[in-house]
Amino acid sequence: MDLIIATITLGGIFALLALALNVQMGYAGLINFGIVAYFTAGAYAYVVITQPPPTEFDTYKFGFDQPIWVGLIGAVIAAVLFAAITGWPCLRLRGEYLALTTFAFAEVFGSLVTNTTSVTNGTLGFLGIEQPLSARIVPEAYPMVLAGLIAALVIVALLIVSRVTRAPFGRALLALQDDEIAAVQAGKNVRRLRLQAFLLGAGISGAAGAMYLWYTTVASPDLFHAEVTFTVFIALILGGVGSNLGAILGAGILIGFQESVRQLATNPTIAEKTGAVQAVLEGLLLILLLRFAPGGAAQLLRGLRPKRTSTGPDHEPKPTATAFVKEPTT
Amino acid sequence: MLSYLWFGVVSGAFLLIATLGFALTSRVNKFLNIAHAEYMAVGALMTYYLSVEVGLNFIIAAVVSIAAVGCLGWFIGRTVFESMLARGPEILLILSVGVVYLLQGITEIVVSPGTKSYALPRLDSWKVAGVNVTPYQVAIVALAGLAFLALHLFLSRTQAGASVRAIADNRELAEIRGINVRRATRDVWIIASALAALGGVCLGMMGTLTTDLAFAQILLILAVSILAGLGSVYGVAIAAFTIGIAMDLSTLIVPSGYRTAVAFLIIIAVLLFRPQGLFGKKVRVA
Repeated sequence: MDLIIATITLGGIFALLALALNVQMGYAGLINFGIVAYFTAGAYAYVVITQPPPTEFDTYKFGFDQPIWVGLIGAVIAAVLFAAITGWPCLRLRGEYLALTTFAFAEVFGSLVTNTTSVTNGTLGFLGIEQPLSARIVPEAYPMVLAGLIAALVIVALLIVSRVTRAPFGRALLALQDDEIAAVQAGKNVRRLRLQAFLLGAGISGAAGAMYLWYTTVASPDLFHAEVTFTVFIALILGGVGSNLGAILGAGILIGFQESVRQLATNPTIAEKTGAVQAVLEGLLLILLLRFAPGGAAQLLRGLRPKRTSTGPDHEPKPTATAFVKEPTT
Repeated sequence: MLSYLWFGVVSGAFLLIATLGFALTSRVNKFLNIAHAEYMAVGALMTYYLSVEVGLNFIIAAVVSIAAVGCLGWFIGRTVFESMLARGPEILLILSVGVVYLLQGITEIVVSPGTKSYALPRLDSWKVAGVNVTPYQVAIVALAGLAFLALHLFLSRTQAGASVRAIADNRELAEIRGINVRRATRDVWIIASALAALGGVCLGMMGTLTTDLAFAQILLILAVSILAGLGSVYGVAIAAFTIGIAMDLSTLIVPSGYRTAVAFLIIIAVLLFRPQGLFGKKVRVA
């Protein structure tokens, strides 16, 4: 039971991140290797907004003691602002260059978070972060309520994202990936569309950051390593790049797996090795998926469905967002 | 001041060894191999394992590890990367992250996580112009010079090196002209990963090692190779010393916690203003 609740809660948070990455990578073709930075920006904005003002013993200087919903909105705004600052210069770059720059920004940001003690309280971080509804619910039932709340928010995000990506905005993004010159000729503003997708993804990541603190109730730089980014990548590739539902499915499966490993390994000496075994399995999974199933779980599911179009045996069913999956022309 | 400069030179020499192989792979195989830093970690920790836990002589342990990592890099290159080269640099970049996880997990199973250091004997340091210079630091600088020279001679004076340069410039043309692409690619995998392992050993000589050092190191390697211009092998020498010295001198001005952030600001600035790097060819990145 604990396992299911933990999977839903943490899986939901990573599902949001995978959804955000899918908007950026699946639809807009932007490889963001710095997702963790937007996640962190959201999380710390939430802390600063909801934390009570510092006492004379604290090293941090800011705390506005605002309600949780203000914190959540603030988290989204902070992540979007940070994305606007970083995205404006970065989005001129493509492919691996964009991946590197976002990665670098994330690392610089991480080092700022660790070292800017006046805002983030440095490596000490914050303890006892306020959770939504916690005052009205008995502590034993709280994890279940939180899981439900996060699941509901994931569904809201899914609805928003699938609405947006089916709208002209999403189709314009796909058109850009398909044939950029033709899309530009049709009057699509490439830079603006890419930036919008980047900001949308960052906003979702920021909200996920705030929710992550509801789950951990502590904030410290240790929680926000590049591993978060790579976990999201594995989740999205597992689920299928270009599929919103796939993003959620992939995150659910991956976090479910990680949580089961964690719960199996209660003994500390075993835990040390299981972490390593888990890394081996995740690495292998990523390698095998990219090699043999680049479309992920979403494509497998699509393959099971009866084909609607009669394109003949030579034609693959056309995936929704193909830039990541298709063979390059070189 | 002078001692910071000397530290910078040593850091630069280490970065040179660490980045040469990475630059060679990215030049020849046209992708950024994040796993390069993990080869470093494997080389460094295998040397630790063989010299401290098994009890071999340090130099023998280092040589064995470097050779083993060379073979490992070849094996992974052949089995994981080569069949995917046509899928484009982005996929290969993500794929190499998978390799990092895989190797890091295996390393942690063999050598348990935690801080490790080589039990090297303390040697007397020399005093040169008021700066303490340890023999290990001198060894790292010398190794960097040797590695650079050896790579240069290989690429410019040998038949195999000419093949490597040919496939770097135009793989298909090289194949049509009868160059053994498979063999030249193999040479690149072996040389690059052996250099990575040598870099790892140098890292261990300078300080302590952890099993998860790859991600911290890859960032510096990326910084150096971007400053040099992706794919530029010779520019790496200048870029490595520039970043090494800039990082160590920056600790005079900003807190040392920001030391790597300085390297990253360099990356960001270079990518935004001069994406081809200092010595790269003009490339289309945007």
